[in-house]
Amino acid sequence: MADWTTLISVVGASFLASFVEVVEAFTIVLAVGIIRGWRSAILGTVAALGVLALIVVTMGPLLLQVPLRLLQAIVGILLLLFGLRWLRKAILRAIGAIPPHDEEAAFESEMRELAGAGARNAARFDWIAGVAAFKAVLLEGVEVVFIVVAVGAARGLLWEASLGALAAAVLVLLIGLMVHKPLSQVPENTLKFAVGVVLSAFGLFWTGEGFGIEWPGADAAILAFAAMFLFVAGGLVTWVRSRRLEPA
Amino acid sequence: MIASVLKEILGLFVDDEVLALAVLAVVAIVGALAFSGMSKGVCGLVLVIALPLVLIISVLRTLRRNARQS
Repeated sequence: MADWTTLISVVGASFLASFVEVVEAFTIVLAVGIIRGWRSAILGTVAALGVLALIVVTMGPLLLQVPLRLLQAIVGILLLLFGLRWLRKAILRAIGAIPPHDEEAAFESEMRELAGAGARNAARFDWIAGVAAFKAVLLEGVEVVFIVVAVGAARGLLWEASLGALAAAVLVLLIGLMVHKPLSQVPENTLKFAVGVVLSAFGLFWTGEGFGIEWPGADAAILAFAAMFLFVAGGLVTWVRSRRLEPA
Repeated sequence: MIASVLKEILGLFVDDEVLALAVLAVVAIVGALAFSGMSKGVCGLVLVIALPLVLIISVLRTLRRNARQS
């Protein structure tokens, strides 16, 4: 039985990371639904969810065949690449070196693209709209599947991690249904910053475990690593910002 | 469609190629040390020090590149 530190870390990481991805998919599906009709948007979304379920059902049993140490090392390395990439981007956005992700702008851009994609026939299935929704849900969904597998598999907490992702999807849908517009108020960069910190910490922990390193404090080391990445990333942002404020 | 999905999947892990290569290099070095019989404590320490360092270098490198371009 996993202890509470591990359980909360796994479910929390899965929830936060999935929340960001589902918000991005929701923005595109919403644009498709409003501009081209809800039938195509919903069918495209359901088809993508079907493909994702197929990926999970096919890949899931294969994961059980991989020796635990090897699985931890592979997942750890992938998480390091994934987490540090997110963290780097979040740091650069916090510093102002790259523009923040704007859900409102993404929504407007998708609306323009769909509006210019030719007239639709209400009686027929709108392929342009269906494919747009399918692609958005599939691409963001693949990220969610990876996150769930990566944070859950190495500790046998796949179901718990899936519940975290499902809770994120339900929450985004509920908020989306209520406000009926892109969720631009979500502090996406802050979330990505937090997720980057947590995934990098998991990556460091499991890469080490994969190489047979026994971390002091066992699973609690994940929290220490998260604190370290937060300190490094936060410190870097503060340092760069303060240097920019200094007179030349 | 399949090409864009594959590109997107690769993009999950690789954004800045130098960061990705540096992370893989650190992991390869630690793996080599661990399997050559080096103390696991030392291997862990190398991971803990090198990975944040790689992140810092990648961010500073991008900032320097942006400054040169502007």
